[in-house]
Amino acid sequence: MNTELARQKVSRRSFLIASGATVAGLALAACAPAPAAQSPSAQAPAPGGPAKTVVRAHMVQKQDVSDWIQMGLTQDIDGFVSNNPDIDLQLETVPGWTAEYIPKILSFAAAGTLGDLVWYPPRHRSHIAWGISYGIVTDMAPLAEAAGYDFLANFYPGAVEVNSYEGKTFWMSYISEPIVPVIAYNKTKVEALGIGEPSDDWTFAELADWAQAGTNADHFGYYRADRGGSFGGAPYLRQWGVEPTSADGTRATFMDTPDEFIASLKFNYDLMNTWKVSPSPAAGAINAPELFGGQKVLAVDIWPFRIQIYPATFTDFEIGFVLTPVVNRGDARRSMLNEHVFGITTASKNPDKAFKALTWFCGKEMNVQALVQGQKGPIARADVWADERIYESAPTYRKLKPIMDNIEPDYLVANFRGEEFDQAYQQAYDLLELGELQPQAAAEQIQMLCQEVLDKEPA
Amino acid sequence: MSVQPATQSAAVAAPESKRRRRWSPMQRREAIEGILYLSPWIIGFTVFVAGPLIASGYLSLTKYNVLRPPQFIGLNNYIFAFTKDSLFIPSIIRTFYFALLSVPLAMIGSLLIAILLNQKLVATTVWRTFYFLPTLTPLVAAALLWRWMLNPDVGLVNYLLAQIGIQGPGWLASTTWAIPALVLVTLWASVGGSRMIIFLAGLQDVPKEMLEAAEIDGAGTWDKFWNVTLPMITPTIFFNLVLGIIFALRTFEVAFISTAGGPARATWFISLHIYQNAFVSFDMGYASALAWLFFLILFLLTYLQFKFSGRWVFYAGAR
Repeated sequence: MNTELARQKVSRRSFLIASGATVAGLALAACAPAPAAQSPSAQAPAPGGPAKTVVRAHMVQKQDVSDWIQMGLTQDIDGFVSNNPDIDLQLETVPGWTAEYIPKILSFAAAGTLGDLVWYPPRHRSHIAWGISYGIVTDMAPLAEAAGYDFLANFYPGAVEVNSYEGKTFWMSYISEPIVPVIAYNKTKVEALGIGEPSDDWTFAELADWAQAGTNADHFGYYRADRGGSFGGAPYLRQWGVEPTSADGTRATFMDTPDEFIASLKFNYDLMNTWKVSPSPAAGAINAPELFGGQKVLAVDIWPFRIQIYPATFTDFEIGFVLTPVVNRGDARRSMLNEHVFGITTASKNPDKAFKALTWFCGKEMNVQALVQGQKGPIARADVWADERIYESAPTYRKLKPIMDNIEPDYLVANFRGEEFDQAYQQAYDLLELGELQPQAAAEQIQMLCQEVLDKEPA
Repeated sequence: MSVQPATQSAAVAAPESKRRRRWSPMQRREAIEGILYLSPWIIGFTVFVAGPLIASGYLSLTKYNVLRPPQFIGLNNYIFAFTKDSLFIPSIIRTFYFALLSVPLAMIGSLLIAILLNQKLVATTVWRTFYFLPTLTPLVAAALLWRWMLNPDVGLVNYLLAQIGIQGPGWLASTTWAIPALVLVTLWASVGGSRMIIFLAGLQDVPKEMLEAAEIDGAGTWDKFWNVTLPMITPTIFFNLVLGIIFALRTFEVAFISTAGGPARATWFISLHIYQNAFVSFDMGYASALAWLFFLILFLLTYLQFKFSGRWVFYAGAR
């Protein structure tokens, strides 16, 4: 019996052979080329239909990015699906944000498995590096010319300018909006307090007075919310007459206008540390929507997409919207463009079809519907801003139209280290808000740290 | 029993050793099989550890952004780290500060818990499981949880402190308290973990007869611990110390999740600095240089620990 059992056992030799074969099989499978199904040209024609070309679009998984484009496909907005039976637009999403997304795209590019379209949220034109240094995206100008597509006829000039470099257009706007142009305020409480509703031509000094009148033991009067740092806060700096970098993007220019820069920092410092009308970060991480929704702060700066979300979310009180202040009444309103963009990859085997898909979801109807359905922020297209349907769903957008008509592009960080530039700014700005650094010292540190980033080799 | 002359035995030994060098087919097959059994590890080590290690050594001498071929720039990355990168040295100092706070506390905490759990208690297994539970919580989840716990306004920690009349600090929002707060999170997640288990094993290995002998000699509880238990577990302490310092110096997740290096870079550790350069700026060459510098620091520190361990680590059976 024992002998029989022993015979049935796997011998060391056969175990080794089986292991070797398994390892070899796995190694072969790992080295094999990507399956044919992923190759756009290898798509079999659908029964009774034309051959479909797969257009692979990489993007983060996000309501206003992947979810909305998927909804557009499902709803067949503008008849894209029915009019293009030969295009199969497949969304390849990455959960998370740039920390997860960008390494993944670079891995795809390095491995030669990149799809046709890539998404990017630029910081001070860092996305241009993907065109000129990394070779991930291609110049779309020849594709546009072949398709008879005029960028300037579709987008505001500022939105074309930020996506172009040395005559090449690498990216197309998908979300493009003015950075934090409005303040949302608790209209119900403001009326109860009797402090008067702010008007669109108000000044920073008036905001400070108003916020002090609106601050009591129960709530703060105002919080700068989304306009911190050198990205969200850039239109604020411009409003004070400060430009972060020189036109060629090689020099930090905060201290070219020292009085204005220090005054802008002092205003923020005073809000938290002198007038105490804003919650200080020293008291912990500030979640502005929670504070506003919980009626612990009367007014907060917001991104445009919150214009639709806030009234739908906070239903216990009425919400009003007012433009952010200017320094002196009558000052020209300054701005900066925030964007999410898409580009066509150099790896794309069907760039013409990718361009067609791109112009669809960056097109007028998709973006009007996005605003009407409250799914996404606006886009820098004059035809969208001219469409009355968007104002029916969110009348406050009318306040933003003049800003968009003259939208100023993001400033340039010439070595494409935009994120590092923002981090360097934040390093000293944190100390200012915490009350550990006075405005003058913060200004000097910001200038030094940001210039240090600009002095680095191009990314 | 006859004794052979030395010359004769040497003459006999020489051909024998020659013969030993020639392997029989069976020996050869066994050697091949042995190597084959080891091959998954050898391949894994070569492909996933040694290969990248050597590659990073080369890349540290280049300018490299993943998509373009590396450009050889000699020692420029290393020179840049010491001369122009204003974040490098402070990040090293911060990392050491974190290790200096966390390692002794973690070692003492783990040892105390191990001593407690080494007592003859009711439901010892339940207690051991209870203390081990936080270790099973993913550090990311723990970091997120503690962000709430340490919130100065609504957090449980400051609430409890307020109950005894202490106004809690800003914790993660304070440049002074951010690192101690991260130490607190790390301690919660690790003090009852594998380090404690290793201490427990060490404590259970202390010969009972030695403790009994000390007791007969009139030693009290403290004397027994100080003069018998502690010397006997010094190899365990040394092992935990070496690993503890290495783990503390390469801490990443808790700072990345809880503070992202802030406020004002107060928790910007060397691991975050390497990550930033590698995966945000894609300066892979420079990030490799930073990683090598960090490796050299760790190596030197570990070497010194081994070098001086002879002065305080007692190995039973060793002369």
